[in-house]
Amino acid sequence: MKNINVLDYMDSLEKEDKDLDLFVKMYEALSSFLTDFDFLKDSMGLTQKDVADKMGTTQSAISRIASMKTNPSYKQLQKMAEAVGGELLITPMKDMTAQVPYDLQNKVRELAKGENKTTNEYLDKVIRDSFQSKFEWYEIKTIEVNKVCECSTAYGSDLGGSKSNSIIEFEEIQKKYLEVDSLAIAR
Amino acid sequence: MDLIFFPDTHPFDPDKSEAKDEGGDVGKEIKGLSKYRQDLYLRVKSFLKALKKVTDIAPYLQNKQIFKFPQKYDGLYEMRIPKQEKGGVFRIYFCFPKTDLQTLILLCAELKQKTKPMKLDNALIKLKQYREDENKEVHNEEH
Repeated sequence: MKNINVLDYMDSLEKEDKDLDLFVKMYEALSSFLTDFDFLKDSMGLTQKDVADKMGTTQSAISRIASMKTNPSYKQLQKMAEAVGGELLITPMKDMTAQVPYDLQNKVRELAKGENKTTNEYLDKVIRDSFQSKFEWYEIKTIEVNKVCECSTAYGSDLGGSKSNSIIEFEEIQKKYLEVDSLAIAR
Repeated sequence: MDLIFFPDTHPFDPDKSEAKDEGGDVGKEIKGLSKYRQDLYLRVKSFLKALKKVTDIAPYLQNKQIFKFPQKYDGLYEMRIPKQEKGGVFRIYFCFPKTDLQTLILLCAELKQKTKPMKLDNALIKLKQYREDENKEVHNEEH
């Protein structure tokens, strides 16, 4: 049985249908907001009517936004987020923004509390620490590569002949870095 | 979490059908949404993207966006996107393989505009079929 991933399938539908592709690109951020909004609303056991009351609007106004029939204003988005106990974030740096999966959010809040930090402060620290350790590993390896470059035998021993072990080693390490870099860029 | 289609049972014929036919009933319904209900299509996609990121569906069960049927239904679940909406709710019936809680097998789907679920029986038939295939694979591995 061939396993077909549903999200890959949806991507392929969008590739084939320009109108759909345009629609998805245009409204992806709003749809993502509504997914998070629904999750918070349902987690708090609220109805659209409860949210509307908190916002000082009507249930049908919320329903129209939820079904993407009208484009909400910035103020409406902000009020919707607040009504379900959240905060609004808008950024043009989508590729640099990650979200904690729903099943880990309570754990992250607990850990942040344990360190006397806000959730954002805690996440900033975790991200920085994680990347810092990657950078340190990268720097150590870079020094090793530089040493290979500085070694007098690296290029001198067999000019015009077959490659020395040092050069081969250097090229292998360089190749690995290129792979690591391209993976990082892809992510 | 991987979200995998349970394909249609008819044998795949490359001359007659597209590879996408292997998306089974859920694939067909999603394709329908992409043509006639782009808003709901996108809501479904966003929901599935968020679901893909979790390794435990407990938060969805707690807030009732995902519902687990009683034990006699042999591990059948239903997700509703969105949970409640006058314009229609897209229901996807799914199950987990017995030995892998990180893969969702999407059995069948329907756009629900009426109260009564129309494809529950279909979902149960597909689930039975899936469990039989699963048992056969286990049996073959043992021998």
